[in-house]
Amino acid sequence: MELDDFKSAWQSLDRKLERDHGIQKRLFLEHRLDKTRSSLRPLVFGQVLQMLLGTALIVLGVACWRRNVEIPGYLVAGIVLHAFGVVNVAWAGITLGLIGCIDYAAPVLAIQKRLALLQRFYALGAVVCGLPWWIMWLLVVIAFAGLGGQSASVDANTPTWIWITLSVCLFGLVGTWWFYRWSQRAGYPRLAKAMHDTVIGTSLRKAQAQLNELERFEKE
Amino acid sequence: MTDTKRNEFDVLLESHRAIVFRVARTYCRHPDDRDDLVQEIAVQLWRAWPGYDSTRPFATWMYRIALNVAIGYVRNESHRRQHVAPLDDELHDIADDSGVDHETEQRVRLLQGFIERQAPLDRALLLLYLDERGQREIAEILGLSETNVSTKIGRLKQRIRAEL
Repeated sequence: MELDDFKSAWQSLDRKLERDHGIQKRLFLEHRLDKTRSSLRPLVFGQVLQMLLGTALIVLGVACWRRNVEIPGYLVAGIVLHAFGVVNVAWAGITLGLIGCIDYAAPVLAIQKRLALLQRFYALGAVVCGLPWWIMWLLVVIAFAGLGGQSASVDANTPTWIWITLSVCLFGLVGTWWFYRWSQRAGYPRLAKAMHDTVIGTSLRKAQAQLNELERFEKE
Repeated sequence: MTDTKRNEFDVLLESHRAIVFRVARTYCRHPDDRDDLVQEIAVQLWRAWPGYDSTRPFATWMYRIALNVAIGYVRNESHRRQHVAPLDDELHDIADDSGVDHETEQRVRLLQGFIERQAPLDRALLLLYLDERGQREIAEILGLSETNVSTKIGRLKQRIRAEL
């Protein structure tokens, strides 16, 4: 059967569905913008939250290192938190900028590519801003301790519990990464996929698959 | 937005609304999904309307927005409903309501099945072809060259011939 043979059948369905779209027509003409969800709205909301979190980390980090310039442990914790906060704010800002640049009236292929790139950038951001929390939570605790006005009385040596916890966290972070690398080479496809989805995220894999699909569509 | 501009939008939307329903039907099987998608497309059309260049064809502009929203919609898995859609009921209704013969009903069924097996961008191409859009317009909507569109339509025809 030829594709052109289906045109009249397609138009029959068209006429039938056109008659049945009374409800859709009403929704269509009411412009109820406020009641309609946009697929990008949760993403925007998430980025705003990330910016707020990043700003809080910057405030905490700066407050910590400025009060403890003489104490290396607090100084380093403050600076790292400050830097991590900047990364969070910048990443969320760039993501919001990318969302703002999406013009649905542009050609389909161009916009779909942009959406896939946005998804990849967002998913990568989840790794960059998410994985370090293996350690960051401890730095947050240290920074709060540094704000407590104890700096003058703190012993020059870092408390043992901090070293122990930091070692465990570092071991967790490095261990996760090592196990991920190993799983990708070990020749167990299911384990490799599960680890990839856990560490890198399903979203990133899907975004890459979409980009590949778009490239194939453009070239073939 | 002024009342004149808004009225102009309403008139154009009313006269071209079949495009939106066609796109929604191509990408969503379940009626609730279709309603959601129609509404989302309408919102994006409304938002994009101030930037519409009236020297360009409205249908092309509308197709771009509708397809962009629809493809994004189906890629977002959380939107898809898990239960089976009552498409068969719709197909039976065609015969009941409009005196369309059994053969047409069968063709629609085959075509709908074929469409559902295609990737989102191929669906867009198929929809535009079935809607009798010219190659230049299809190229403009999708952002491909006319030669590329022609090649792809040729391949789609081959696939239809082989599969149906």
